[in-house]
Amino acid sequence: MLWKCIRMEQEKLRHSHLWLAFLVIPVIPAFMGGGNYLQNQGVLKAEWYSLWTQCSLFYSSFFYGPLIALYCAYIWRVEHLEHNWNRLMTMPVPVEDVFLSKLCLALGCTVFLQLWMWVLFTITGRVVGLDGIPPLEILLWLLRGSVGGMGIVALQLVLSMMIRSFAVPIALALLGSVLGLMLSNGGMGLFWPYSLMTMGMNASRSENVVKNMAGFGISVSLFFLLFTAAGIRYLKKKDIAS
Amino acid sequence: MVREWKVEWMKTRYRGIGWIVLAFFGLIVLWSFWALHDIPRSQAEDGFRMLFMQIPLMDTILMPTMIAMLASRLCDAEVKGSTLKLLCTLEKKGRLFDLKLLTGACYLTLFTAGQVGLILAESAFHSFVRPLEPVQLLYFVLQIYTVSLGILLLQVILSFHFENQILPLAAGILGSFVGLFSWYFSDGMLKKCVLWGYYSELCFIIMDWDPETRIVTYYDAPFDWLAFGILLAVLAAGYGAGRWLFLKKEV
Repeated sequence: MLWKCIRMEQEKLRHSHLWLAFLVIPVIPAFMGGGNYLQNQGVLKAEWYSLWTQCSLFYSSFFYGPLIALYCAYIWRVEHLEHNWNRLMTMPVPVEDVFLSKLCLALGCTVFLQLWMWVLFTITGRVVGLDGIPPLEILLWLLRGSVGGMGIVALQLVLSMMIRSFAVPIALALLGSVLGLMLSNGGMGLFWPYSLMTMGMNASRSENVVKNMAGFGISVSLFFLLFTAAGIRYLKKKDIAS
Repeated sequence: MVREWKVEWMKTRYRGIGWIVLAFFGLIVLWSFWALHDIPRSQAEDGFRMLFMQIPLMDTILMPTMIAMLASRLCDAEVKGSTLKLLCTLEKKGRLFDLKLLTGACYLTLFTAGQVGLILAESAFHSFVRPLEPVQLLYFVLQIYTVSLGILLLQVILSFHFENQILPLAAGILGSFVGLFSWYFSDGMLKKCVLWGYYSELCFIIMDWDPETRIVTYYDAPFDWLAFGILLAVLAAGYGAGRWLFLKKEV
């Protein structure tokens, strides 16, 4: 049933312009990061790692969260239109599967976004004159960013489900991301879901900042399970208003 | 006109617009206090210059997305409910566009006034030594308010034009990105071609960071009246074009 729900959600997303935003928006930090790298080559000596500090600086701190939020808001958008909530809730489908199918798609989107960022990062590196391909470690950081983003995905799905407006959850994601930047700089990143993604990506750092992988993993798992459970419970218990 | 104006405000009731704007303002308050809390005393003495540099930078990141949300929330009462057809039989179509813009501008006025209040509050809290130059406060208001108004105009046009609000919202996020990176553009026409880049283009403070001492020094720069003039012209042309598009829109 879950697989059928995923297929159904994919159908809903067809002919949307969502892919355009995901393709275009990450191009800017990648190429602007390259520009910054070229301007500061006197200070930035660690080649691919230095380029990474420039490309990931703003992408992870301010924009990755809102992009995930954009996707999550979009996949709930259809339900908020007209009387689709009624239709959805009267379908012979367990509500867990409804929520989890959206969750699976959103998680896939975060991984796609990171892989696309990897491609853009590689292209930028070649354009600015770096040799070879980026170290594997940076790809792992990107994927770890997706793992760190799991809590945000679940949270944004819950927010987008509860808030009928398309815009408000995205605004909240930006607020959360900026707060996340402050908290991770203050050493409190493990306690705020939006910081975990920044930490996972090792944003604007050339050395690994996640020293405590167990703490990182526990924190991600806790937030992810907490918000997923909250989302499913909300669907089960709350009377819908169509 | 007054009746339509009242109706616009009634539409905003229970929509939480003010709370979201307030949340963004709260974040700027937190961020600016956080930025000032651990800087050397010598730098804090020149706090006004520092804030006149840092608050526009924060606005560059936050405002485009906030304004996209604001415009989307203001317009989706008609777009989502498909009530434009009905509404346009009751009031002049152009007036509806004007009032949406005016309502958004009221939120921006409060937001900008709040930021002026924040600067004054921080000066009292951190005891800045260098006195405030009132003309710089005026430049600050012109810088923040005019650029935000331009972005609001763009977002209202987009929100009315596209039934699917993903594009206006994506434009807001894109704007935040482009605006942020425009701080790194060298001076020239490129910066003047990007609406979101005017937060940095109209910045009247420049800074110099010494990598050895790690001290930042702020200097005054002349206010770019040419860029301001261009922005006003873009605003006027954008208003005319946006209103025309809205009048032509098939409801």
